[in-house]
Amino acid sequence: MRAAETVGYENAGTAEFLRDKDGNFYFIEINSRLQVEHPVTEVVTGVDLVKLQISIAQDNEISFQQRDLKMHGCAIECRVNAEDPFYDFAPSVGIVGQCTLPYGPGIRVDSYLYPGCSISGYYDSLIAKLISWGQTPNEARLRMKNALREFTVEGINTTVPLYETIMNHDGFINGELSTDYIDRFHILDVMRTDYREICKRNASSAAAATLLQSEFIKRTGGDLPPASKPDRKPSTWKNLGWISGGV
Amino acid sequence: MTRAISSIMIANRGEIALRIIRACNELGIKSIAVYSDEDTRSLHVKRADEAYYIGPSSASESYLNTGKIIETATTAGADAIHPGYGFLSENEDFADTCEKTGINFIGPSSRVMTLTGDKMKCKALMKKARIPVIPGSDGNIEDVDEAEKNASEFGYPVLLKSAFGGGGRGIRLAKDSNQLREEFEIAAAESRAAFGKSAFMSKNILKAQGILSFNLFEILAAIRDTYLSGNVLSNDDIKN
Repeated sequence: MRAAETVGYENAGTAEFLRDKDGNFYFIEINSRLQVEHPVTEVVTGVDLVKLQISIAQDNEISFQQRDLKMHGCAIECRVNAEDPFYDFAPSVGIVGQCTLPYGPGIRVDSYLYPGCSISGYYDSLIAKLISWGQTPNEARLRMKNALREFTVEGINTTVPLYETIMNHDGFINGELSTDYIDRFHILDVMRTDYREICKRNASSAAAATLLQSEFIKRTGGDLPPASKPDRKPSTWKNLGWISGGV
Repeated sequence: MTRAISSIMIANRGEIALRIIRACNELGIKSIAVYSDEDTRSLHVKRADEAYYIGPSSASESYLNTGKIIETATTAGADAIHPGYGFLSENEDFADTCEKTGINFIGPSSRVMTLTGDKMKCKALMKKARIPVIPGSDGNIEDVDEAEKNASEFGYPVLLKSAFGGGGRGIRLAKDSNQLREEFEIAAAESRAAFGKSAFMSKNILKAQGILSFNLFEILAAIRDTYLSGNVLSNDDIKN
């Protein structure tokens, strides 16, 4: 607050500080604009910062005081960039095929994606902001995991695999965050290992789907199958096949 | 004295343009989009009440083209301009031109932006107000030799940070002088491309090895004539 008073600040902005291991805060800078991460503040306070900015620009009084603001729960924002985290975050551009945005409790998505839209190399690589809210940090984290899993976009690479690794990472879960977090825990290597596992699983499920399909055609000559009603837990192999579109 | 706003031009694109359009819809304010060649089919153009073409794909010819944007705002009869983030959002000359043209710039005044936009001036002010600032160079560093001299005084590693702009752009880590030289050139080019300016500040990384965490404080403050009323929202430690 003193930082804002010092420069006679009006309207929304952000003062950034760094905190060292002893809990001392150091001023870095004031961003005299709406923050990219403003949804985090919005979901924990319930205040609409953009409407508030417009209201302040109209010389209206702010209708609440600092003491009126209460923070509820915890929020995480993932900035999904059209970059390839496996190749030094090289920009990834092109036409998006299908895309699926996440939904569900405590999930907010700010994005300009739609099927068929174009991702340009001319501008910032941010394509979507996923924001999750939870009563506790862990609930917010688990909801973010769901959201990242649901988020799919065809035709371009994104930083989603990196965030999936981080959401599962003990260092993140235990709050061991710092400016060198990625290096200190070799997060990019962890991501590669995680991804290999996913690839193995996908390869198995593709093989299973092909097998199920060919068995089905042999058996029925290609007629539509009756709705499958398994009365016991199907094998992992069959499950993977069904998930991947086998019949 | 209030300044009523019935239409807002959004001098931006992508998700933030859509975010602002949504706010306009809620407030019953007409939203006016601008777009470049590349954005002809973009969602913000479809969702806004009006949309105006402002030029070729390259940002410097469209979203950073102050003259064209002001001209378009005047043609469209926009009461206000919301700059979003990035592009012209922290450009004090743009805010100043808006003020002089009678367009309500949604953000701090150009006077304040001049103070906050120059990170070095801002740091000096904070120091004066007895707010602890991160150790670093005392002024902007224009060339690589000066950067090296500064860095060796602080001790490596150092962070190079563009004196203009934010959002993580132009921040570079250098562990030794070779890396410093390399990163300085890359960061200078990046800064010139994004903001048309290349001055730098280098700052020491606190020697607390890996226990630093970012804390963001959103600030909202409103100045009413000579009286200051303020609100601070603090995002407590991210993990709490």
